[in-house]
Amino acid sequence: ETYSAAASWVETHGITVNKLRNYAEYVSEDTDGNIEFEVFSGGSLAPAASMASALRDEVAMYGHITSAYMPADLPLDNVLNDLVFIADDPMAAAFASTEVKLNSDALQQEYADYNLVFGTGYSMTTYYLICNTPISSVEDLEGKRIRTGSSSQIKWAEHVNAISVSVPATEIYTGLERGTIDCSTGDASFLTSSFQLQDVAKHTTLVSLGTHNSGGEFFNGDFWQARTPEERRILLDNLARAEAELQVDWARQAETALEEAKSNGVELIEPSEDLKQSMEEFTEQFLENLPETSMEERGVSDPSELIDAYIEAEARWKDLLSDVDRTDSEALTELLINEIYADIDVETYGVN
Amino acid sequence: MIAIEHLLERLSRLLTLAASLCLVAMMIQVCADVIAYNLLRAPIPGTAEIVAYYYMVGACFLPLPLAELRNSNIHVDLFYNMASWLGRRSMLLLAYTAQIAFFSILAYQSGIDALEAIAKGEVVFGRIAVPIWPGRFFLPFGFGLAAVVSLLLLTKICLQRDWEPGMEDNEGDSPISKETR
Amino acid sequence: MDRLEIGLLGIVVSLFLIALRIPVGVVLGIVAFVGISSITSLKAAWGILTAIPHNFVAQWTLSAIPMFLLMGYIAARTGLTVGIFSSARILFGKVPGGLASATVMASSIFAAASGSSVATAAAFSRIAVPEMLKAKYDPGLATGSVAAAGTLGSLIPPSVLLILYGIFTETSIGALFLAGVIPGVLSAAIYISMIMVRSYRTPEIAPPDLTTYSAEEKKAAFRDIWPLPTLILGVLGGILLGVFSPTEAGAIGAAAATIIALMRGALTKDALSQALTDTAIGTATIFVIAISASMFASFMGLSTVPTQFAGQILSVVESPIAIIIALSIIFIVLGMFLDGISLLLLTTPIMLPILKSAGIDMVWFGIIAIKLIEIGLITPPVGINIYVIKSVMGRAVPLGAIFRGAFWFIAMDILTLGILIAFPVVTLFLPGLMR
Ligand code: NA
Ligand code: NA
Repeated sequence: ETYSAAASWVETHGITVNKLRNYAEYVSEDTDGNIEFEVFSGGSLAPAASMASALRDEVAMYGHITSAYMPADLPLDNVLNDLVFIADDPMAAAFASTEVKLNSDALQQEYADYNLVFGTGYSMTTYYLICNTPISSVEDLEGKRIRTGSSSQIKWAEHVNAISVSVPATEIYTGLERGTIDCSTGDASFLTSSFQLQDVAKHTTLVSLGTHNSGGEFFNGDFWQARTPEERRILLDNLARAEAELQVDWARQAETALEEAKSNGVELIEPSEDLKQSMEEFTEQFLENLPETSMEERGVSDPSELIDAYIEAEARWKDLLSDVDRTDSEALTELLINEIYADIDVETYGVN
Repeated sequence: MIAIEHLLERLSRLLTLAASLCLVAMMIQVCADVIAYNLLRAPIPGTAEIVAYYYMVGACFLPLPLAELRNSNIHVDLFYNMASWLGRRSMLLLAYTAQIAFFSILAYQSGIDALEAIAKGEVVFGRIAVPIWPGRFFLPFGFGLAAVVSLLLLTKICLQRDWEPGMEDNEGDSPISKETR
Repeated sequence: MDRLEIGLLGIVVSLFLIALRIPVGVVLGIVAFVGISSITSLKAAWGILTAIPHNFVAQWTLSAIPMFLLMGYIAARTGLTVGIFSSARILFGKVPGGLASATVMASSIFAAASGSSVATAAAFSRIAVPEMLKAKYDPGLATGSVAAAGTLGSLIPPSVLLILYGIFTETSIGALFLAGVIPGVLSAAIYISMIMVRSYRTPEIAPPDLTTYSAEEKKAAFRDIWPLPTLILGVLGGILLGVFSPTEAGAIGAAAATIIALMRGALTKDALSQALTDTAIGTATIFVIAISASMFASFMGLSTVPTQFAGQILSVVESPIAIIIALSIIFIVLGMFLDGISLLLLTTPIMLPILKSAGIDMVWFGIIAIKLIEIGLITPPVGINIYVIKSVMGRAVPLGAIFRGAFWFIAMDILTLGILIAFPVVTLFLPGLMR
């Protein structure tokens, strides 16, 4: 049977390519066409901010949710996204957050309340500072208008006395071109494939502003429960494969994107010592305050346990990944299945 | 009937007044924000969020009932103008029944969504956290009253042989005649 | 019935119901609701009602539309437009269709900066159309000029649609911006030529102004020429200098119109409250259709009508030129029912691999695609630019007259498209200089 699968990312984006199109193919093959996904990219079925309700209401049965758009619905998931400001290894962050989201009772409850079943997480590559003017020190940042992409980045901008502004994605390019903004945070692909900022922003400061792992791929709860355990196993293991392939692709693309930008005249700037130091101070303070600010701002109960679980998982994954070829998606798939998915009991997972 | 009509018109005007205030607030706050960040390097926090979730939502949904009263919705009257009296009456009955259905289902669903939004304290995070659930109520108000107004107009079509939508309205009429007067 | 049949039936039923005088927004919304529930489930249909209306409207970037509408209403209600249009009549009154050509030029320049076609139409419909009607221009010509000139907002850079195309297809936005310039100017020039030829041959549609003006009258008119140009140049300058973004420009324009009216002592309480009420009603009218059109696009997507239709046509063509012509037909047909962004989103998955394997230049195709999408803004039955003008003009101009007036401009767009397809250099010359 055919079911709708939806994402708000555009057709060429990794999430659409790996997690929806390729995934749909793998699942169709492994189930002999019993489960076919019809893919709707770019929010053509429902706007990005409505993806969770669209999955809950069966507009689509499988899809990508960016929880940052629905902080009131998925507050704990957003805490994890705040947390990856400290992540310096996107692949480890991706797999660690997948592990935590699959296993945390609190998060599972949050998803179940929305009739969602979590499938995999992800992590974009490291966010840098992409500017139309050279920035290397804390002093350079003062009073600069920065387009930020997450609450943690906003807090950081305030910490360095920059001004964070909300600019829609479609206005980043012209904003940098005309100077209504000085910088945008963004991963390497912002310079090339996704936003083409290399034309208008000739300076990129290689200071790590964390990654993104907001939400992930989810199934509609009723759809999931109507599947046989064998089908659920197929659905999960292929998610592991799609996720491994996505992170391999992204890591490679991030590298080539920086090279391409450099060859197109974008200056890659190393942060000065004082900026590095300020960054360390900020992250330390940030991490210390996170449980409290989360309780205050996001209205969750004490997330310390979740935060610790993530930090532990991230360390474990850094370790696991040090023994494996990070460009070998088959090996990574196997690792994900062995370390995470094999432990999921398909008889009970997501079934209430 | 006339009393109901007056009441609905006053309510519709009231909602449109609220929408006008949203427009004025949108204009002033955006300008203030532009001035603040250009001159003081200190934009007004939450401007984009407040504009989107309050002013835009108010300006788009609250004027719906008055738009209906003024017959401002966009329709094609090519065949209507060619039809006989009976044909025109049938078309109007169908159109207003469809309209009542349309506004009612939207009022119902948006009402449920608004109540859910209160329950979870819907909020967006920019530089500051902006609660956005109150703006959700503009939808059921606008759609709901538009449905009631459509019901009133349907009743008029049934009861008054010669009545046509927009006929007593001399305000929403030609912009040229007004300005050249 | 399979979903494809449901989708096709949905289109036919929509056309029929629209012809029966049911409001366009109501028809699209109800057909989408019934269609989605019969393809998927009733639950999904209610789900679309949750997903779309609120989140579609609650967008910062769309705020430019009500603000530019307000700017237009205030400028018109307080007489800011009178001086420039009387001066234009004195200067170009004898040129066939002079006012319409001047409007096309002015709104193309405005469109160049605003980045949005609908916002441009919103700003100019109230400013220019009533002035042309006062000069006894044919309503179709008057409204068609504004509707069509507005469409250049997405072709001449900067342009939100070109940015989206760049993001969707991973094409250089800078190259797209450069590529849009000549086709945009060419479109405007072709519009103006058409207006002049038509007005010359049928003077009734744009009666020449044969009045002889006294020196006094001329002086009076020219003395009052400044308000509208000041307003428009102020908005343009601010955007180009990076003082404010195109989205913020709407609010700045509305405020500037208010201030200029205040300075001239023309801002009565009555004028302001009328302008606000009209803007509110216009905004609601336009957005109800836009929301319903968006729900209808979801229905179309689920029905697979766009993908199957495109797939069928593309499966029989091979050469690059045939592919481009096939895609043009697909875009024009689908553009009748779908808004530009939905159209791009729903067709990219099939279009992209075909374009890439045929080795078609994505910058060249991008400009053709945007031109095609812009045509969709003025084709029936769903033509948002037309609806903007209708909602602003009220009963003064029947909807049919606007669509008929726009038809001439669509014909010119087809001519422009032919030139763009036959001579890729028109599009690729400027980006070629960059490389
Ligand atoms: Na433009
Ligand atoms: Na159209």
